[in-house]
Amino acid sequence: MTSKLVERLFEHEGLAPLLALRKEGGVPAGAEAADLLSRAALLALGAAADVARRQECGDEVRIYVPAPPPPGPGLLVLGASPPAGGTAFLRELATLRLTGPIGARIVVDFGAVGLEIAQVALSFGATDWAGPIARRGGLPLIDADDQRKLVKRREIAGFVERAGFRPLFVSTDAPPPVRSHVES
Amino acid sequence: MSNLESIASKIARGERLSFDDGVALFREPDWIAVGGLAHAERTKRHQDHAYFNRNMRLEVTNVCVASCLFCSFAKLKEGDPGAHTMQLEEAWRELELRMDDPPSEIHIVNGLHPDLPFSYYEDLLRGFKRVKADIVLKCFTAVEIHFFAELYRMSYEEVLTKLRGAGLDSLPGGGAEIFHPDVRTRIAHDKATAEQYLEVHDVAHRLGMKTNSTMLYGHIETFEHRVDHLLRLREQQDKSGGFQAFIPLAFHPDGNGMRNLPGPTGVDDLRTIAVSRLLLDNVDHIKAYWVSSTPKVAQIALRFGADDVDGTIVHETIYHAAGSQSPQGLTREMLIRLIREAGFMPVERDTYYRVIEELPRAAVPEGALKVRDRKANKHLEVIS
Repeated sequence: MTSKLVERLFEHEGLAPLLALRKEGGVPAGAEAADLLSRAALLALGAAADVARRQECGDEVRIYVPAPPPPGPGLLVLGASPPAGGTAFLRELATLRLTGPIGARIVVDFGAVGLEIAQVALSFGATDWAGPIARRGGLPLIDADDQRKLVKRREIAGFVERAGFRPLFVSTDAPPPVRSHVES
Repeated sequence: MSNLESIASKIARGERLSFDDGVALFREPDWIAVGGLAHAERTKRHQDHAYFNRNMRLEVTNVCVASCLFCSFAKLKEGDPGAHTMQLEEAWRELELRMDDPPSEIHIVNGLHPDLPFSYYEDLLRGFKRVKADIVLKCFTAVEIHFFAELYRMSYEEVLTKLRGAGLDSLPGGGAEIFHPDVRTRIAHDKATAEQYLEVHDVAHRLGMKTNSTMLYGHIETFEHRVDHLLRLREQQDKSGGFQAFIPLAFHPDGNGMRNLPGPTGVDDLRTIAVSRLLLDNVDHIKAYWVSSTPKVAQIALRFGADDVDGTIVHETIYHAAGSQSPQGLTREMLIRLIREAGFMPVERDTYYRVIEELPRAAVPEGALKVRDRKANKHLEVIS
């Protein structure tokens, strides 16, 4: 539930009509919307993206292992070369959430941006993660040092839960994807 | 009225936040709103300025008699694998090597070495001043000063006065960890207590020195312990007023006695920065130490209450021993870029926050730049 404090922030930044439009199934577009979003304060933009994400996608975070699934309707993937700055990445992500298709899943590559930024991204409009994780028995194709750097399934689940979301692991190794909830 | 709204009202009225307010801010689900409150406070104090300095980190010895659970850096005695103590010439050489683009500050933190003579530290300081007379020496945590006082049988005032005579200018904030005894006795039982840490700073402030303060978070402590820590610092600052900056330090678990713990997350890092800004109403600067949180999180932290990203560092080893994946140093240009990209004006400062240079802001505001360039922005790959 959005607090009055945040509602006032949306009013102040001009984001309230845009959120109302999305709630009715419309997608903000055009120069006016682009201008509004480009000028909005980053945290207001993030809070608006979070409202839209929770309304449209709930609090489930799908974690695609080891890579995002093949293209499908409403699946947007932030690629492997994020901009140098964390703020630019978050702004781009929140803008994408607010101007993208209703209910779109937005996947962030935690291997590329790092778990910390990927976690913050969940509150700026991202719904899903993809990336490599450590497995029992290790991965034979990488050396021991690289293997140690891989995070474990439980650690990833912890990052998601500590951001206030529900993790759901989705294996993309072999079709059809096998889904399983992680125990926490 | 929700907790957050009532806290926002208190801030707007200029009222000091309480212990319960602090805990509520740590527990508030809408952590971005907490960040928004902190950003407003930060903006009131510093407008869009974001500070950095050209500094150099040095650890002249990692030999340490303390057995802190969170430490991956210390070695118990000389001769242990990985133990090192620099020869004085070796330490001075580190500065000499950087004289073509010299730092304005040297930041030294060491292990608690039981066998070095006090003159080693005095000579160390004097030697740096010989290499560069105007270098600011921010050296030895309050824990080290307490250790010196015990080892060399002096009062805090005597230790600080002698070291100042040799060139010491300021104290770093390290060694604070978590003040509450329930935590401190478990993670750092054999070094200065909270009261001793604060007393060293009290004496330093009375002698006219400016110092920093820290908090190591994200291990076994609770939100209540964090708030207790922040309020003890606030109380000390009311009394002695010499803390310039507060630096929350994220715990890193690799290679230490708490390696089974997960460590704090990005959200926790940003929230801790924000709550620190809101509770420490009498400390001017909140620093996002990029080594502990990564440069990207430090950059975002500028929107969550931080106004300083620390400095170039050059060669950090303490956090890297604990598994930090951040680089060991950033160039001045990288720091300027990091600040500009976040939409702030980079301000190079000295140790005392005196402005060395105000650098131009980005030509185009952060948001406009990103939307304008969006079509050409290759990092965003829309698969379908």
